Amino acid sequence: MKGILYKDLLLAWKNMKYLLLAFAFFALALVSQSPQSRAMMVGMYLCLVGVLTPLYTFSYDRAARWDVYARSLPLKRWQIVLSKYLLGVLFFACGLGLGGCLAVVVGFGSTAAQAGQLFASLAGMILVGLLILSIELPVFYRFGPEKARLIIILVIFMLASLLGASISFRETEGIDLLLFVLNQSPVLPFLFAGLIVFIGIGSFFLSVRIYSKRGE
Amino acid sequence: MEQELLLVDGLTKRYGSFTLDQVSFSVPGGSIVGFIGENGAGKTTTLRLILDEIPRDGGRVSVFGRDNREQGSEVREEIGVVFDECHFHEMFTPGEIGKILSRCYRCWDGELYRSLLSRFALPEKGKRVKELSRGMKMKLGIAAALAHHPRLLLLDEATSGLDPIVRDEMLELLQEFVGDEEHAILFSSHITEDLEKVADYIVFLHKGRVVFSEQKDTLLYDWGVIKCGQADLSRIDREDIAAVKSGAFETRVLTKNREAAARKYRDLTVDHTSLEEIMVLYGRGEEQ
Repeated sequence: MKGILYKDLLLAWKNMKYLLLAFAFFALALVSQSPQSRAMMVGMYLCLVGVLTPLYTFSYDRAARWDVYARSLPLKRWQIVLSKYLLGVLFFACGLGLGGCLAVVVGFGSTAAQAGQLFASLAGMILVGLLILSIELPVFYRFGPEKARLIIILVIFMLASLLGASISFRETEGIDLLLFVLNQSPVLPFLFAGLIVFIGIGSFFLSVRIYSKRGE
Repeated sequence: MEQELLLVDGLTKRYGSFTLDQVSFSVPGGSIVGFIGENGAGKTTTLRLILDEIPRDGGRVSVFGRDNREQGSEVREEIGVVFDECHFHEMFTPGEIGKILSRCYRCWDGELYRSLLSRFALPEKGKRVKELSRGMKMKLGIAAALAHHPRLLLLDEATSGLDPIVRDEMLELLQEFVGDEEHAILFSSHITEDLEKVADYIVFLHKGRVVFSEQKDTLLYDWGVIKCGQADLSRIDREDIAAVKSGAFETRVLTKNREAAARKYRDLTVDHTSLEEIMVLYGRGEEQ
């Protein structure tokens, strides 16, 4: 499995220029933001990369008909599927790590509570990213990259609209909204995290099932 | 005694209108088995079933004496596969492909891979897959398939579309590979000329069924074709006819004993046959 994960990371690395270009546009939009928001947005960007990277590796795999070859390798079906999940998780971990570092940096001069809040918000965002990943991967295995891309865009658009509507309803920033929801009860963040991990595991088994049935 | 590296027994797979029906054959160590058949005969399906890429509906496949389903990934560790097209991502260089595969196979031999690249004049760096010609891509596929020291090589139309020089180079390499009893090749190909050069046995698949599994020399030296007119056909005993194809000017009858047929039908022309002719007679003619 290390081999196919390495293959996807290599694909991501070769596309790094596009990611950096997108990041440059993203950074321009952050100039007028507060330091906390910038750290948050950087984390969000990396989460977005975590959601999108498995998607475009699927497209490259499809173009090369890589799957035909992958199935001839000494790998089990679940290992081939797991590598895509791990790829997304790896980028999320990087997002959390980098965003967390930035949270600590911008935290200087502000209160510890603010930095803590920032880090908690990042973790929340990564959980949302994991949720999207858990939805998108079975869809990709079932419908292939072309159809699945449209479905994913629709899902993200719906989630964003929902979030946008909630934010304007409360007249606050996105960070505050996430914190507001998670702060309703001390167990809520853990429940939220547990639920997403549970969905993620279910999604993985669903993807393995779909993938194993291919070609029948 | 020859050890069978691959044993396919009663392999069955049903797809809507097509059925791979009770396919049985074996690949002995030290041999190259040519796997021929028209498009859609079920050759690729058979190879995919051997690799356990798709589930089978019946029969069994034993590779190195092990069931290919129960020990799928262990079995694939010792199989090298070359497909009819290159499945490596276009943006990778041969060197990068080596790095990926070295993390997939336990027995990957980087030194061997580099020496094969060098033998095929393939650059390790500096040239991406998309910049390679079809011949170069197939050579890359062969190098990747051999570098983990497989015992069994599965080739799916690996020489199609290659020029005669590259094909010859590849055939030479394949013959080196089966130099001992520990290695074998199942070679699916339309290019019967290649198989006539290197194969030891021929398995002919027609409409999902094995028509015959024979030694190549038996086919080329013992089998023959009786060339006659439509009127002469009634004179030929049914037991002498394996397949028959009637044309506007000539009727060709495939017989499994050329010498006996030549003695029996002295006034008719009885010639040697070729794999291509056998394929055509079974494929387009009437099987008896």
